[in-house]
Amino acid sequence: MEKGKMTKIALALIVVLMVGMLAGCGGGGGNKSSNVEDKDELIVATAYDAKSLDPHAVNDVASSNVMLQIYDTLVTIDGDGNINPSVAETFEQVDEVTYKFTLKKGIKFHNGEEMKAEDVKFSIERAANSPAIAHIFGDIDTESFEIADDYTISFKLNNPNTGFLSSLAHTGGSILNQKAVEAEGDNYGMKPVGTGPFKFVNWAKGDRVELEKFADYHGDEPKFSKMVIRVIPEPTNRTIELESGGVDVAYEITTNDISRIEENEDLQLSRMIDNQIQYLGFNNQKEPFNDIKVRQAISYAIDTTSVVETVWRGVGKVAEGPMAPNVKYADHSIEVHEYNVEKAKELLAEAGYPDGFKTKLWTNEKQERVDMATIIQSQLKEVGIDVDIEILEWGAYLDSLSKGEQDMFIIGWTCQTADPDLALYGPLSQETLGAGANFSFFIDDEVNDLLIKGRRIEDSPEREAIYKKIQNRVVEQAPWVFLSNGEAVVGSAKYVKNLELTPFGYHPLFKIYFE
Amino acid sequence: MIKYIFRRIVMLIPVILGVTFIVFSLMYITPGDPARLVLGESAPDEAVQQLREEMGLNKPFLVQYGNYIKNLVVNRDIGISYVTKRPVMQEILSAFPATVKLAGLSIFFAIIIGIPIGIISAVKKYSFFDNISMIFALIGISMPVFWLGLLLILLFSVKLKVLPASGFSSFKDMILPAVSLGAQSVAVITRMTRSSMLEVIRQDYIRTARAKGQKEKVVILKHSLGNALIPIITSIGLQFGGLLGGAVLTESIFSIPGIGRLMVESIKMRDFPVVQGSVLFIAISFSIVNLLVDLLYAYVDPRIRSQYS
Amino acid sequence: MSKNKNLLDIKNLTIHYGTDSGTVYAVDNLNLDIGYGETLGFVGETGAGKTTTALGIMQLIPNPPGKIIDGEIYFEGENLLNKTEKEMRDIRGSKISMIFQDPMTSLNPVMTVGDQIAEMIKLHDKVTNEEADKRAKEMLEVVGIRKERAKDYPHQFSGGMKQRVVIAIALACHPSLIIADEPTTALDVTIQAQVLELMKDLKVKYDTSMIMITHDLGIVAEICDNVAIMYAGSVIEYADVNSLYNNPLHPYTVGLFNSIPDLDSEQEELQVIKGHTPDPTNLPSGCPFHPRCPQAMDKCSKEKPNRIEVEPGHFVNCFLHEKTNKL
Repeated sequence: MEKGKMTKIALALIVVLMVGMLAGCGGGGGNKSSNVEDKDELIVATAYDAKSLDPHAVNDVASSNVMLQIYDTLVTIDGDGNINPSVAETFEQVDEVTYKFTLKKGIKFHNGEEMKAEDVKFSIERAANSPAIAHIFGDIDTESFEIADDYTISFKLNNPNTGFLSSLAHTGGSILNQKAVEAEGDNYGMKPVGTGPFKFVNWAKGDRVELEKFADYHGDEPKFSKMVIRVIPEPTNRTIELESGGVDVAYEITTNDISRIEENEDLQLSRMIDNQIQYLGFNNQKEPFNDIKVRQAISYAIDTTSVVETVWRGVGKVAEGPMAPNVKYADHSIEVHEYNVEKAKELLAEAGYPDGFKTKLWTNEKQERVDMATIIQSQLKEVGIDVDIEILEWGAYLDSLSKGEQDMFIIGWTCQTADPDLALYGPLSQETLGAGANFSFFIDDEVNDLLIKGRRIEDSPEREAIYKKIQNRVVEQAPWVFLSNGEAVVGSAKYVKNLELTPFGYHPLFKIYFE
Repeated sequence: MIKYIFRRIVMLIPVILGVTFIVFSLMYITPGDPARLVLGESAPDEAVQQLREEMGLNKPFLVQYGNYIKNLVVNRDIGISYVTKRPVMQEILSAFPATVKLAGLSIFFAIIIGIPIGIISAVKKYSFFDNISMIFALIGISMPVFWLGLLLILLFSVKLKVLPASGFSSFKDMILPAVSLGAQSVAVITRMTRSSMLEVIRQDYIRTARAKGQKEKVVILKHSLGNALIPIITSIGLQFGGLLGGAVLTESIFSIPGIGRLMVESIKMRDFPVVQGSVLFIAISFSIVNLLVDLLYAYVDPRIRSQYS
Repeated sequence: MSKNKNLLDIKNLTIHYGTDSGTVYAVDNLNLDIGYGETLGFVGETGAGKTTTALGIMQLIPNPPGKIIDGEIYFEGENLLNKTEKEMRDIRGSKISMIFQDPMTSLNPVMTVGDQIAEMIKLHDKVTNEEADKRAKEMLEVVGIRKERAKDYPHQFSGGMKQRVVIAIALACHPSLIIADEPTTALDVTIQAQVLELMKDLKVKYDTSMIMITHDLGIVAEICDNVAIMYAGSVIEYADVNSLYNNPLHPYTVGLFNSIPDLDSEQEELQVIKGHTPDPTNLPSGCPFHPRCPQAMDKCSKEKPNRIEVEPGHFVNCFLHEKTNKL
């Protein structure tokens, strides 16, 4: 009858719909089967979208990861920390504060213009004035540019800084085309023009950036002609896409997925300890943490190895000192601090807190930090310290830390160049108290003097000694409890070769080839 | 009718003022300094201060709000993103199409599945079909969208490998997100269709239609559905309006660059102009959907139509 | 009763509703017939089963919960209960049409009245849309509504006007039987008279038979030829109007007449029938009226009285008259 017929029609409709949905997709399913030799496109899955492709507007890993493929810098740093020329043919430190560069001739921007000294001046000057990278380029004397000819340029720093040459390898030191920047105005961040191996094609915000091989590139020609950098925020989805052949490379593989990639014979895993350190900081100016004995006691009371292994489950490593191991002059003789509850209790008693005290531990909502805080809370209970964990949202967290309201807190610090100056100056100098990243309000004249000295002196065994001394002094003064170093864990298909990881979290994808 | 539409559009003005003021106040009292967040923890204090000055964050609250409204009214401009330095309008316009596409497809699924099932359930009240579909509707309403999304990914992307787990370039990419996002709407629309149809089916005019010798199919689809539409349209409108506000979870799970994700990112970064602009945009879209729903009422129901003219 | 003589002949019709609180014996072994051109008054209290009987003839009993358990309904000599749904659809509206009680709710609020009339015409006659519209407008004029109003919606009409529209729909295909289910109950008294007058005229004009369901004996006297009195699901008395009004036989019928205020004679108080209508899920044994009957006998609670023809054309189901009949 009628009703029965209607049911049938509706059911048929649903079935047709579902079949249609599935059939419509039969065509796709990844280009896995296609021949590796013919492969001409690299698809990379990242966790975050770039914020801007203007190197002077932002300073985040996701943006740098794209900009690294588009722009060149004056110099580059290789895996061993050596500084090599890039668009500069030669470079020279004329005196303590003066740098001189001779540029390669005939380097073309993606818009066809030739790169000349004026572009370098424009770019470095713009970098120096940019608040986003002021901590790296802010000390350049913008009045000091001298252009001898189209291919020779020199400029000065306000203060001597040995780490400056490696800073130039940061994406903030990218060379831009003045004409292109001025033509696009506010929109330049969406229309970047560089001299790098890949040129910008299209950016679907939040979804993907598409790049194309630049035919007139001055360096080694890339082995593939199209690069797509996709944004896939869910970690599991990055792994799924890698497994199903939707992407060739996937960044930030989480602990849960590592074994899945290792067990998959079509995939491989690349890992590198990065330049990040996570630490538990004390407010060194506030009772009771202004007492070194209390700080040391807490260090002894925390079993860092178990904390890190429980929380990070095999990603990254336990931190030994204030500097990540891949930063130049890291002292590898420093060992993970001792875990000794008895000693901790003794020290507390000596400091006048035999029964411990009540305090607060702040963290932002990042899950690993919250987990670490929870374990630390229970470990400190052993020595009578009663810890309240307060979880703050990132923006509010940074605000409060700058104001010095904290007791204890967990945060990370990343050295964005290879030089130890950037690893230590920010979080430990007296110039940067509070708002400049010295959130532990650590004031130690010896460390401070050494930091300033280390900045000025040129690379030498003497400089190495200074930085090792700083590291040991910091370990001894215990302004922080060192927790963990991060790790870049990148999955890729087996046919992806020459995937070079850097400790900065962004990687030169243009060097990849397929085999 | 035109007069009515005009009046409704004028009514948008207080809505816009109210929404912007509330969002502005909330952002103002939220701790967290946008300049600090843009520059990161490593930036020196002077740089942060300089940026605050550039952003106009040091001005008093009312001045900031006044400038915003002035800029909105005079230049029809909603500012520049603190983070990306791009015009907010561009940021929104690059995120909104994905949301509209997702919302549209979800509601489309919801309508073509929900209404027929609702009708059959009502016609065959308490039958096996009715019971099963009501159970599914209950599941659909109570199932968290991220969970359903992950299940769908597991089934269709990992096991069957027929649909991609992320992206939004092609229609194929949109199927899983639209289905998982639409599941709740399917359930709501199914239940609403069923209850509305049940209400109408017992009306005397349905008996009249049958007494005329009309075919049951026509009685159900023309006489009953025609009268049951108002609450169904209302729920579709509300669902669609809600979906236009962005579906943060779905957008994250399926890597869709929609307005939900844009807003959450902006809130995290205290990117006030983008948050403000997005909320404004969503409020206006919601109002427009409401207006369309009201106009649709008039189209389907002559009693309402006669009130407007 | 020959089949040729009667347009409609209902035999032993029994309709039950299954509900949570038990089976409702809505129509119980009902017998009724109506001749060509005749108007039958169908009288009873609320809940007596009048509307169910009407819906039973139309075969529009909502199933579930309703079900025709037994009986035959001969219409123009054919048993409607043997018809398929499709055959029934062709009969509804074209041969038998129905006017419902409440004009406020029996028109579809989202269709123009013209469309609602035209729908009926298009269903049963092979006509073009234009012709159906034209005939719909003519029908409106027939019931006294200007044809320009065909494009208006039901909410733009008053109650009486709506009932005129309903009548126009019912008559649009010239049915041979109209079942009017309390067509004037929901209307104002003045409008009632107009609508009744209209129905009377049109019945003559279109030469149809009519079943007038009502509880108003006044209406019956005005337009009916014969009357069937219904109580608890079955007909307990049947006669032509004159003999029923002059000589009501069943105690229930008598009770009904006594409960009408008589303006001519002085009466001290209105005589109402004691008690309530019986619970339809639990009908009394024997004669269903016996618990309320002033003349009940022992027998009444034990046996069901049979139908007796007391005088030609005047039937009653009551033991009181069995005796007289035997004499």
